[in-house]
Amino acid sequence: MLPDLELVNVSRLQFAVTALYHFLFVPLTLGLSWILVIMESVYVMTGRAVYKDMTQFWGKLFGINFAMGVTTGITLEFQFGTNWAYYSHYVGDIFGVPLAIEGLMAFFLESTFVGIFFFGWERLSRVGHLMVTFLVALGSNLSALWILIANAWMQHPIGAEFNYETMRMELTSLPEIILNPVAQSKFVHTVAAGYVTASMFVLGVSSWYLLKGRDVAFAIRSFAVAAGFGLASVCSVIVLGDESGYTVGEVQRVKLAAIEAEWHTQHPPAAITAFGIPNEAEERTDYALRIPWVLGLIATRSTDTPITGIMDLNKEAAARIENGMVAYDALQKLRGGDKSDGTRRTFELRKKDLGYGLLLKKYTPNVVDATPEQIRMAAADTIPRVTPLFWAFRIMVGCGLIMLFIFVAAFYFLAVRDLAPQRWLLRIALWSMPLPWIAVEMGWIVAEYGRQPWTIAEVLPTFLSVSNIPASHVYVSLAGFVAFYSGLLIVEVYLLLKYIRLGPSSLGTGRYELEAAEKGAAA
Amino acid sequence: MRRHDTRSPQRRLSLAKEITIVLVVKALALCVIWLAFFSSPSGRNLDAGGVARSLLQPPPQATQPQETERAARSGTR
Repeated sequence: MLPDLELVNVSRLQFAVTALYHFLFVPLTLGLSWILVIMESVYVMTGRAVYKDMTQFWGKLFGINFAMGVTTGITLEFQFGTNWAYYSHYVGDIFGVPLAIEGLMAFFLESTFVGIFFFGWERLSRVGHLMVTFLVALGSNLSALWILIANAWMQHPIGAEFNYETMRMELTSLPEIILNPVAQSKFVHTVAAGYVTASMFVLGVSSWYLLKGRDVAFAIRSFAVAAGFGLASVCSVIVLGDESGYTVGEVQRVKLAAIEAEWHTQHPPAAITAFGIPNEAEERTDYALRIPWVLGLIATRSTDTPITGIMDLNKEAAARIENGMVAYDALQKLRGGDKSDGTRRTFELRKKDLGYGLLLKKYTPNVVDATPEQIRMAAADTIPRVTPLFWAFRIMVGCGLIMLFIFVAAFYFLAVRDLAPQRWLLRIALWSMPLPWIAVEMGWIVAEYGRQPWTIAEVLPTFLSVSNIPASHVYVSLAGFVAFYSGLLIVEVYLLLKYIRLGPSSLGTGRYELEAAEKGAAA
Repeated sequence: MRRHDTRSPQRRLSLAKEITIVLVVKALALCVIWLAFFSSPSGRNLDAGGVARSLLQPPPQATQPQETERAARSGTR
């Protein structure tokens, strides 16, 4: 019996909610760890106490974020076994490897050194403590590397092969999985986005201190570190996002076409649609504002390579579905005991399209006898909905451009030593603090929604990945997650605001304003 | 916004204590969620035969009404 679509949708919703929530914490951890390394390096080199205070104060906020965020990703792993049983069986051998390494990295490298970071100030030399801070940053980023390798494999499954005897994908080359081009571009783009997030956070909070005229020497130095690191990071995100676009153009053509609302194959080099309103019913983009050549150059790095449009990709999918029907038929025979050379050869030749054949299970129990209409409907399913992808991508890019402006302006006014009168910039930096989070969440929506209708691209359809459990179970656990995560978020925001308000006075060094005010009040 | 905690440092709950409390509560909440919803993963009992039966054998009845409805919608794309 096939799972019902309500179960599929609520399982997807639960995974999306927990993943998006988890990723509220991750980028700040990734970026703030390197900002701590920069601040502490200056302290080690100059011996100036203010840089130690900066490392300790921003380290407190890092600690709050780390403590709130740690283990929020574990709930995703709970879901694999319970809600996604067929997925876990089908690809668990491959997906489990990077996931396990990520877990080991997170616990043995990252968490251990986070502990030493907080409790080692009096026990380690300056250089020794700096090394610990560096290892915290390295551990965080390496954890991200492995989880992104796992995710990239879902987007572009290489280094693995389907075995009809075990009915699962089996590893053929670990180096191929690690060196997956999607993993490389995704990793650098994602961690750079994390650096931007942390830079905007430090820049925004420092701007608030500057606007209030509080602890100015501390705030201006924090602002300077954030502006420099943020400018370098936001430039990296843009360049690496371009590289990511090129990779998508090579290996995820459907996603690219959907993001760009590329209904028809254009004469190369393709124009990019900077703005427009995708009209899915009539398969066109209304009020399209097009910039010639740009999409062709970004996605193909050439002026003569076409970018296949949605209509043509749909036809290609129909052909692959027909191939998949043959593979499905051969697989049925193999599982039924017919191990003849002819059946094996047929299966080996067509098995790369088995996943396409499986798409028909949504419309007919007898895949091998599917009608042309059923094939057409399954082919239509291979194109994710264009409108959400089109807008999510543009919101992400828009946020990135605003942040580029802020970092350029911040860096410029610092360089010309004219920041203090630019209160407009400080206000913009403060109110723009949510932008990097909006951008990274939109980025994940583009990545994951753009992979639909697959859990493993072109291998396993999403609707065949879920367990045979009642949808009501998933609704109840989803409600539990929402309550749990909302509680955590409230505590996180409360603690962050509390320590941001206290500022560096929370360190108890006696050098900062609120402590002086307290002493004055006590006297 | 200028308001700040005027209690003595001894009376303020230290960050370490606050984080410890949150971590303990979080660990307990995770245990409860796991025990309540995720402690018996259905994937544990899946084998190659089970997956083959699910993917390859026709289900006992034809497409469900909601799938047909969805299929009709997809067909208009």
